Amino acid sequence: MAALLIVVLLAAACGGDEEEPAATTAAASPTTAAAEEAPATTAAEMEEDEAPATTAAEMEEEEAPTTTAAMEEVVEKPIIVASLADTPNLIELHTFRTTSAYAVTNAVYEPLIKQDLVEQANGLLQGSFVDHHGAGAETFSIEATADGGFLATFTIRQGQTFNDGTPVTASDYKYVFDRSIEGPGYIGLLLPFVGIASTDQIRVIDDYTLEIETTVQSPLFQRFLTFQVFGAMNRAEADANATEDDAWAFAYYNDKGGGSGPYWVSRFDPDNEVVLEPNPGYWDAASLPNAGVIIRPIPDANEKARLIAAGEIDVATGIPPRLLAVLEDDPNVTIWASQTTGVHYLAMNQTIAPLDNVHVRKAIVNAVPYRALIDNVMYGFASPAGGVVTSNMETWDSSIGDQFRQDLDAARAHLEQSGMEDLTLLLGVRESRLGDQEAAVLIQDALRQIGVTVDVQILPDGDFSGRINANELPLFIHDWFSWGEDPFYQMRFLTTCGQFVNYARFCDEAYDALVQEGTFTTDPAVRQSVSSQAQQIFFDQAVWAPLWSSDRTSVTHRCVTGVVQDYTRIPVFTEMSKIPGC
Amino acid sequence: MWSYLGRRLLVSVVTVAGIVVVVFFIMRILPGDAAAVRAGPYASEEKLEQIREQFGLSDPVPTQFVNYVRDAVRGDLGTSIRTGGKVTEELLIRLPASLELAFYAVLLAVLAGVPVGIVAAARRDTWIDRAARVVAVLGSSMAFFWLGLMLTFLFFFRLGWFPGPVGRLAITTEPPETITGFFTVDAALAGNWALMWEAFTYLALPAVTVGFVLSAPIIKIVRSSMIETLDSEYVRTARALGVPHREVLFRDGFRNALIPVTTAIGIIFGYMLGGNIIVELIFAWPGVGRYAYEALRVNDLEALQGFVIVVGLLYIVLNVVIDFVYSWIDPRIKLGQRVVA
Repeated sequence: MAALLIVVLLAAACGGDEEEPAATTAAASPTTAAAEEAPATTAAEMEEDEAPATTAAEMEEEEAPTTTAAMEEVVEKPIIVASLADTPNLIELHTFRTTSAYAVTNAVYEPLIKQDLVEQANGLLQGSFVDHHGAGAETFSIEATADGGFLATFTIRQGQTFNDGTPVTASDYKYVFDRSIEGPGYIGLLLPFVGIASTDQIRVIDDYTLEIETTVQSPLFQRFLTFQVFGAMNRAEADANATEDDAWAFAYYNDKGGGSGPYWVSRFDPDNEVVLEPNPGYWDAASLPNAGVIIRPIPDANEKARLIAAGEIDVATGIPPRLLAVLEDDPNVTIWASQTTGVHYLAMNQTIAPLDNVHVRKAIVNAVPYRALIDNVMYGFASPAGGVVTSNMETWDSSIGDQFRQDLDAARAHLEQSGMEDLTLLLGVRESRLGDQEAAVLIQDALRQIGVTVDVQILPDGDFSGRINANELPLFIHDWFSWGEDPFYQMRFLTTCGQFVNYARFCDEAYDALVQEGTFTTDPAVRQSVSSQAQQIFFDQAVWAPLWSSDRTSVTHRCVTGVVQDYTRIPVFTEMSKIPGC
Repeated sequence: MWSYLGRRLLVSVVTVAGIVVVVFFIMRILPGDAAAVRAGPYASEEKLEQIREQFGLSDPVPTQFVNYVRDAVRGDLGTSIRTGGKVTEELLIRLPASLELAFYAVLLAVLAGVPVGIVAAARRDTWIDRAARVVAVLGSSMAFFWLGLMLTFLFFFRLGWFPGPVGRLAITTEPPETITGFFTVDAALAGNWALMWEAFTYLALPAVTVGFVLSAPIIKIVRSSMIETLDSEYVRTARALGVPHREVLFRDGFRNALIPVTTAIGIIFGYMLGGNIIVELIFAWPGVGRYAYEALRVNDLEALQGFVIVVGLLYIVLNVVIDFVYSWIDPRIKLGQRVVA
């Protein structure tokens, strides 16, 4: 076309005739491919056969023709194309990473147990908070011990393998716990919540029996065991790639998956593309309703929305509420929204004056336009947070939480009581969080109405993190979601004395004692009682202004089914498929 | 020529050293804590310190600098704190994507801008000239992001003529075996014409987005250079002697106007070498611009340093190439000869 353009123009310059440029057309390639697969052997059959595992390479070479009548059935399964909230950066299981990267590892590592899934009226598969089933473990039992802890026994499924064909044994599960406790990752910090602090508490009884003994009876124990970070790791592979400086092979796994889950990572190109292929050695491979997943980051949310509507991608997360509101009217798109227990909050650092004054904090808490934030920033895709224990969380006390509402007269009264005048405060928000920036403007306007000037500063994420760690931001908007969705876990991390993510630097001994009591009791009545008392202290001390609990939202093309919400809010692909012929 | 090359090499070494020093210290004064981002929300002070130590961030700045230079000389631009990968490798993987887009965008800009500039100059003050000026003004005033979004909306979403902005190829297409890193070229070398065509279709919208905006300065420069040349006495003399219009236009006019045009193209291409962050984000183009953007967001210093240094090196190479092009266009320019006034 360009060459034609030159000819035309040069001809014009030399007095030639004009020509019409030819139109160029291109047909987009299909975005899904039907994969032909012989039906996999069921888990039960695999156990009976105990056939030697085949390596992936061997399987590729063999591609044996299927001859039996039962195997002649050809099952067409779709490839799922996903574009998630951010770009996958690394897939090391015990290193903090982006949400997309967690989605990859979620698909690759198989925990001992998983949540039962309950289908909701809208088709969403919601993880049960109560019922769990064996995953990497075929059966499991959890008994109370005389020492006040739990003894959990797991029978590891036989016949399941890692994608290189290595059989999964109890030793691979012990390895992942040992690595969590002794390795350089962050997971070890979480295990004391369930009473695990030593590798001696994880015992291999035989190749297929694992025991875990805890020192406390935490309600979180079973939930923790569903997390991907405790999925079996290929111990032989990890040992082979460990070095003197890196005894747990963290560097090796930055771009490789070493799990026994439903998928394996056949391509990992950070920021660009991740390809997940079904793991033939997965214990439930036959039930997998898709032929693999391609994760392709689309940085621009507008383009991502268009691609979903056009059917070029099947599932997307990270679409801002503003666009979700637009997409709601699109017949080609399904929005899956469900309430969560996460929290967006306006933190007030109590080590910085004048926020060390409780009346100033209360003035701010009363001035925040909670409803306007949900309506105008979240476009309704959120519910009121109502405290550090959020409104969708177990033990939330509505008689306390509902008091977080805008009352400008009360705000002015508190400001007067504080004795402060002409306040100017800095409010920091992250550059990557557009919603936070919009919320900051509304908060700025609300505080202006009570006579407080707010300077909103949009900071690069790295700068923001550095400043809140260094107590340099008096006001800032942050968010949190607790895997396991436990109120005491959430309170403990965010608001007890000395916790590194207690960015408001709130500290109250009575509060801490209540949280401690609630964390390690399984009695629902006690949990409710101590949670309510803690929530009251949180409200009285005006620790934060809890802004909203954002919904978990996924957007899919209308033909996609099998959207799951589990304890972690991380996308799950194992149930995802497409309606045939749609 | 060899002495010229030797001198340029020497100057290049000094320039690269300057870039390394400036970039290194500028990065150190940027606010932010990459270790905090890497550590995530469960960031105890011990954990942060461990990460800083792992990535050499807790060493004194002079020590960090010496280590950095020592490794950089060996081609190791450090480890990305964001991905845990080697920066040199990550940049080299992404560079061909940016270079391919830059090449075709600049090619489009030149192929469109030069003829339009010539025509506008040759038909000065006619409707053609006025139209060309309108195009130049439009191109100058149009933002990449707006044009990119409009083009995808129209040609992908509405008309379906071009594929969606998902990168260099369709999501389920396997890329060609890497030879040059340019998918269009590698597919052609492999004889896979369908893949080459597909690569062109995915390049089309981002290349047109950038090419249209970049064509504006080229149109302006070609037009003004051509007008200046066509008004010169030797062109008038040529015309008076009855030299054909076409010959005057191209042999006398265009050739003499080429020096400023080459300079402009060099600057534009150099600008594009670093990747166009906005365009790469809109079209999900996996180039170095997007890499730098992700690095900047989380204070990934090594990645940012590596990006700036690689782009600086490319600039230097480009400038040498442009010098050679000058001497080819205008034989009066002799490389390596001192001009005595």
